[in-house]
Amino acid sequence: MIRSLLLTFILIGSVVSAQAQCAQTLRLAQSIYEQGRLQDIPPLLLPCLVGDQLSHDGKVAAYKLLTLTYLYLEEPAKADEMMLLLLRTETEFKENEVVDPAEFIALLRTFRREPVFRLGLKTSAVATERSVVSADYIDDGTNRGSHGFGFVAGLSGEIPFTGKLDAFTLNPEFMLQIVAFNGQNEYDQSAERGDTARVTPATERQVWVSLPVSLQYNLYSGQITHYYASLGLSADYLMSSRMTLSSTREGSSGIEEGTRSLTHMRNRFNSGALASAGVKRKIGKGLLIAEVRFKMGLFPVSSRAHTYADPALVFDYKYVEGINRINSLMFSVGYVINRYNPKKLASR
Amino acid sequence: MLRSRVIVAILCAGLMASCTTFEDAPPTNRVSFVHFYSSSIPFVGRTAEVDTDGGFILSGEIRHSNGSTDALIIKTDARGRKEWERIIPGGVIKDIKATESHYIVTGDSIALNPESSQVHELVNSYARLMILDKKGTITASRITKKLVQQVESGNSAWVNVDYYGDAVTFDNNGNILMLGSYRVPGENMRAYLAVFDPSDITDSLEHISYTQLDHDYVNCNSIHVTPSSKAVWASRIYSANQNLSRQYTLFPFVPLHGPTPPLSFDAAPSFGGNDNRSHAVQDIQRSPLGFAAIGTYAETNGQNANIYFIRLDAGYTVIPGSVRYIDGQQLLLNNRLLANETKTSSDSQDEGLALAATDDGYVLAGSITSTPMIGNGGKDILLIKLDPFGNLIWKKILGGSGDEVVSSIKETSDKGLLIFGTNTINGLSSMMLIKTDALGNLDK
Repeated sequence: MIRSLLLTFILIGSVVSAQAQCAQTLRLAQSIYEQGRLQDIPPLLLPCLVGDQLSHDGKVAAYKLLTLTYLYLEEPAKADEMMLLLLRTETEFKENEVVDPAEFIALLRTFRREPVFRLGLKTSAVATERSVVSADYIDDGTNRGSHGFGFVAGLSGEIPFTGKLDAFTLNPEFMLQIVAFNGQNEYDQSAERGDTARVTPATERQVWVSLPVSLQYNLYSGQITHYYASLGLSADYLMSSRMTLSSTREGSSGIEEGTRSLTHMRNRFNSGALASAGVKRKIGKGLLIAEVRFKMGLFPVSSRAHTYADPALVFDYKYVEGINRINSLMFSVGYVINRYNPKKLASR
Repeated sequence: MLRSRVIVAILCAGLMASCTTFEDAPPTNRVSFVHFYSSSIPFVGRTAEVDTDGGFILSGEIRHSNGSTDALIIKTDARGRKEWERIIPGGVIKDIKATESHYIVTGDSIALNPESSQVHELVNSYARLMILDKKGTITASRITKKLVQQVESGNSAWVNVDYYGDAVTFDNNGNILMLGSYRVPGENMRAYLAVFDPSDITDSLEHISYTQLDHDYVNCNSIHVTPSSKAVWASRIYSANQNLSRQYTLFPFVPLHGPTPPLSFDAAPSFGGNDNRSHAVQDIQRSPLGFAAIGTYAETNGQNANIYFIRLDAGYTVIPGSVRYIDGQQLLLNNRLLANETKTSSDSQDEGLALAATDDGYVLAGSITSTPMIGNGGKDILLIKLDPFGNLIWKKILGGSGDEVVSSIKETSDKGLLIFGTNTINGLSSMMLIKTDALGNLDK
C-alpha cells in the first residue's frame, strides 16, 4: 500500500515536472520563433507533444507555433499535419484575424472546421388533441374532446449541411412520447322532464416510440444565437394505449372509474407531419435549443373495426368515439453537443 | 424575434384549426352500430321495425318508480340517431308495422286504480290500436274495452275485462289484422282477432273471440297471414298439473273472413305438450320455407334453461325432427347443438327470445347468463345462425358486464341484423339498438 502511494506520488511528480519543463520549452520556442531561427523549433518542441507533457492550451499553442514554423519553412505537408493536429486538439479553434498571419488564416480555412453532427437530449411538454376523421355516436348526446398534456424525451441529433446547403440541418431524433387527450360524452334524454344528464369523461394515455426527421432552415444566425424553422416527418409506433373513464348520472348509480387497455384496438404504426420553429444558443461546446413543434398525425389511430370492439366501453360505459387522428403541440428544450471531424478539404 | 413569434403563433393556431371536432366531423361510413336510449328512469326496449325510409321505428317502456309505465316510440335515422320521439302515457307498445305513410301500433293502455276494493280492478288493461303519421302524430286511435256484470259475495257488480293488444299485421285485402288477448276476471286468458279498415279504425270489420279455450293463452308479439288468408301465430299455453304450471307451445292457424269461424284451436298444431318441462315460445317468423319459432326449454321452475328452435312447413305443420335445443355454453365452447337425448343438459341459463328468418336460414337471438367459463358478465346476447335445415353456421356473443336482453331481431335491407332490447347496468336499464352485418359483426 505504501509502495503504491509512493509510486503514485512519484508519477504525479514526474508529470508535473514534465509539464513545467515543456511549458518552459514552449516559451523558449516562441522566443526562438520571434528570433527567426525556425529550423530549431521542431526538434525542440515536438518531443513535448508526446503524451501529456503540455496542458491543453499549451498543446494548442505548440501546434499553432509548429504550423506557422512549417508554413514559413515552406513545408506545406507538415504545416497541414500540424494544423490538423491543432484542430483535433481544439475542435472549436478560431483564428484571430487581427494578430494571426494571413498565411495561417488562409491555411486554416482549407480545413473543415464545422461540426459533422451534433448529439444531445431533448425534452418536451406536449399538448395533444384528437382530430375527428369521422364520428360515431353511441347515444344522442354530445361528444366533446379536449387536449391533454404529456411528456416527450429522447435523443436529438443534428447533421449540418455544408457548401451551398449550409443553411440546412438534418435533425433526426429518437423520442419516447407519453401523450394524453380527453373526451366526454354527455347525454341528456329530456331535461324538461327532470332527467339528469349522464356524463362520461374519458382520458386516453398513449405511449409512442417516435423517429422524427426534420430539415431545419436557418432563418438568422448571430454570433451565438440561431433562429430556424423546420419541416419533417415522423415514423411512430404505439407501445400502449389505456383509457380511464367513469360514468355518472345524478340521482342514479353510475359506473365507477375503470381503466381499459385499448392497445389492441389502435393502429400500432403511424406517421406525422412536423413543422417547427426554434432558437439555438451556443453554450459551451454545444447548443441549447428551445423549440415549438406542431405534429399533425397523418393516419387515424383507430379504424372502423375498433369502434365497437371493447364490450365494456360499449355496453357498460356507453362510450365510443369514432375514428381520430392525433395532433400535438410540443414545447421543447434540449442541448446538443458539437461533434467534429476536422480534415483537409479537397478544394476551397 | 418578431418573425419567430409570428411562426409560434401560426403553429398554435394550426393545432386548433387542424383538429376537427366531433360536431364538424362526418359520420363514419359503416354498416354496424350500437345506440342507446336512456334516461334517469328505466327504459325497456320492446320492439323495433325497419322503416320504409331506411331508418328504424322503436318502441319501449318508461318504467316509473310508482309502478306505472309510459309507452315510448322513437323514430331514428339509418344510424340509430333519434329523429323524434313520442311518449304515450299509461301503457306499452308491443308491435309496430311501418307503411309508406303511417305506423300501425298496437299495445296496451294501462289504468291503475289503487283505491279499488276489488283485486282484479287494481290494474285494468285496455287493448290499444293506433295509427301515427310519419312525424309521430296520432291520427287515429282505438281502445278496446268491455264491462261485464259479475256476482261477487252475492252482489252484482260491473267489472272490466282486461284487453291486450299483442301483434298487428295486414291481411290479404290490406286491412289491419290485430291479435289480442283478453281475460274476464276469474277466467282464463283467451285470444281474439280483429280486422280494421285502415281508413277508419273506430269499429272493427270483424272481431273473433276464441271463447272455447280451456287454458291460459299468452300470445307472441307477431302474427302472419298466409296466402290462403289464414292467420297464424304462436301462443304459450299454461297447463296446470299437480300444482305445477307448465308451458307448452301452440301454433294457432285460423281462417279469416270465414262464414262460421271456429272458436277454439282444436286443429292447431302444438309442441311440447307431452314433455314434463316447459316449452315457452317467444317468437314466430315467416321463412322462405314456412315458419320457424323460438323459445325457452326449461324446468317448470325456470332452471336449467336452454333455447329451443322449431320449424313449420308452409301448411303450418310442425316438421318432424326440426326441433333444435341449444345450450349457450356448450355451443360457444364446443360449437355444437344438443342432441335430442341430451336436450335437458344445461351448463348455462339460456333463453330463446327472438328470431329472424333470412334468405339463407335463420338468426336466433337469445340470452346467456355468464358462467365462469363463458360470457362478459350478467346476461349477454347470444346470436346463432342456422341454415334453412337447422344446421349451425355461426354463433356470436355480445354484451358487457351488465344484462343485455333481446326483445326483437330483424333483417335489414342490406342483409344486416337489427337487434333491439334492453341493457341494464347498476340497476338502470336503457333501450339498446344494435345493427350488425350479416354475420353478426360490429366491425364494418
